[in-house]
Amino acid sequence: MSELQKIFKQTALGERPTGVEWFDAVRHQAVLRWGEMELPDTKTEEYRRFDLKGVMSGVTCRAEGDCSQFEPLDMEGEQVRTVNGRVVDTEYSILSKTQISEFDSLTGNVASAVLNMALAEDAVVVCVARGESRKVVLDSRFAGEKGALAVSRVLVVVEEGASLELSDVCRTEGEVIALRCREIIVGRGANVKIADIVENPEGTVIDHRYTSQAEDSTTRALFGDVSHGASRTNIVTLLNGAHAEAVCDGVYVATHGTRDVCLDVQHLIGECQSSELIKGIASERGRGSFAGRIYVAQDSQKTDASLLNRNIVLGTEAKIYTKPTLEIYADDVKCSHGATVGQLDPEAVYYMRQRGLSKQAAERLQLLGFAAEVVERFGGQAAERIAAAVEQKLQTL
Amino acid sequence: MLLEVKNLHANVAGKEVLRGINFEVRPGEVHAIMGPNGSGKSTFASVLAGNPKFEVTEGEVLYDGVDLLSLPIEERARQGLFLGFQYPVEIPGVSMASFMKAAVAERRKALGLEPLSSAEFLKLVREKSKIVELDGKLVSRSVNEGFSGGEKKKNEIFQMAMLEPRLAVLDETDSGLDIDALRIVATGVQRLRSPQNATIVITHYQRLLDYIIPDFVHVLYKGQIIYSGDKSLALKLEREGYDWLIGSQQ
Ligand SMILES: Nc1ncnc2c1ncn2[C@@H]1O[C@H](COP(=O)(O)OP(=O)(O)OP(=O)(O)O)[C@@H](O)[C@H]1O
Ligand SMILES: [Mg+2]
Repeated sequence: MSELQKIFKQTALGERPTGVEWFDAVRHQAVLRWGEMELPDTKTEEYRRFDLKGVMSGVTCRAEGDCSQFEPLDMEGEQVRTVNGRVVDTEYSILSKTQISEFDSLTGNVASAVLNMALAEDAVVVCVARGESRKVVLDSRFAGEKGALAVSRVLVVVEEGASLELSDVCRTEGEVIALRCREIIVGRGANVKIADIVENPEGTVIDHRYTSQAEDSTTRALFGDVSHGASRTNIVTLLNGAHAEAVCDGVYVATHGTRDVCLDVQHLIGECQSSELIKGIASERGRGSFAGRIYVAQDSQKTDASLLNRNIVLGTEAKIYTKPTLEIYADDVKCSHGATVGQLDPEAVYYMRQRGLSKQAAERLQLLGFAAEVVERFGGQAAERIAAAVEQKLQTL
Repeated sequence: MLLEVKNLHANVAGKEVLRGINFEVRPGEVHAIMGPNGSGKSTFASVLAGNPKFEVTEGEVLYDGVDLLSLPIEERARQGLFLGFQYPVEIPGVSMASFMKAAVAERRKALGLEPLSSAEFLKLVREKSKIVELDGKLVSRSVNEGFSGGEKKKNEIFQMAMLEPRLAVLDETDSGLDIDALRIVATGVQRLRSPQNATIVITHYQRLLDYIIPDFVHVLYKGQIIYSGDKSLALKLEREGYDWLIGSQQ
């Protein structure tokens, strides 16, 4: 029996109860749902480069690493710290709440997300009440030896007309495996800005972000991933109410390991807008992979959606794979998708060198410029942090 | 001597486009290079700047007594060689300000000067953008991205003003400019003239030379300087074209 199976058995047998009955019941449901499920590998999953099954079979134990060595985040907003999935600021812990019906309502039967629920021992809850406006910083810390598994879960509910600016900074220490799942439920007319920043030096991050939007709501999201380890980012946006708008951008720099970005935007009703722009930079032995889909359900007329993935590959060993797709079951829609994989523009490098910049400085500036587009369209403190992280990472190229 | 070019030959894509150029520039001088399309003017400028597309096969270039061709592109620039591009390059996402800040810092370092503070840099930007009446907003935009043809050319002169080169090579900086812009750019160049620096202007039109009075005018044809004269040569070329010169060549 693999270690992961052992850990799973423990929860299945109720050996590690949280003591909060309703939470344990939700978890037990996930254990049952898991049933005969299996994690996909790169063969069974279409167009994915990150081997979920392989990575998870390397799990040796639960992560128990100490996270006191992390610097506090110098960002404005309510700070919510988690350590290997455990909520430090307990007023935000789900274990301090009465039953929340929205919890575990979005992930469906995605094996890695179900596994996350089955193994979760805590969760962050941020609930922004009607008309309220809040700024929250999630300080998500993970630490553990090679193969240690940390399971973290977040539920965000933004009620009607409320607004939230959420920055989630994920940092790891050691070769820990962070299995994350976040559900963001956006009420009618609500407004949400979500920034995900992955700054881990060497851990592996498997992230799920599910967002569900009611009518007239808007979300604007940006992820920035500059980690050295491997990562898998699953982003699902469900547009459930008319006139909902979603912007979902991202940028990553891969120098080692694989960045695997899976994006799924579902227009489940008409008259919604979505726009996604993902930018990838791969160098050295980095791998980037993008699988994106815009799905327009039956009769979701007047959908306006665009999906674009742009990449720069440096050197001869780095690789980027990309596959944006459209799946449309309505006829009156405006949808576009595209992908580019290019290199640095030698003319631009020459031009900058002619003004005195070194080749390296010219290349970095160009790469930074490439990333700047998505960062600037997001703006604010999280964007600045992402820009700084990208710049710092580019210094190492 | 600021620049000495001796028997310079260069190839591009396997074709010889510079075929033995001899050329000298002293501090304080302005040289105009004219010549029909495709004669090698931009190639000559590019070779001086170090564009890797061109391969020097023979000859020598001394810049202030130093073997220019052995220096990397950026080192030439830091030593005060400036090329105003015939086709300035657009660089999406890279702001003019951050680009120029880096460029000025390098130039100052080469001159042994302290780096500018942010305030000093901004002051310099304001001062220099005035010289070419460059819209201040352009400085906060990405390098040349979405600039009009004329704005791109003005931007080249703005950068020249920022970097205070010893030798500026301006490749058709006048083309694409309306009459007012031409006057602005040309007087800008004129104002940057000093006894220490020198300018090479590549142009097709005599009218630029009304503002930037050249000490010498050269005709480049098929990769060689076939004729040199004073500023009256430009007028003659404008009236009579190149036929009388080319004829004597064949
Ligand atoms: N990258 C290149 N590949 C192939 N041929 C080139 C390249 N660049 C220049 N040439 C050729 O070299 C010759 C000289 O070109 P160059 O651009 O130097 O001319 P020019 O005198 O500046 O012309 P114009 O007045 O049109 O600007 C031309 O025949 C041109 O086609
Ligand atoms: Mg030319």
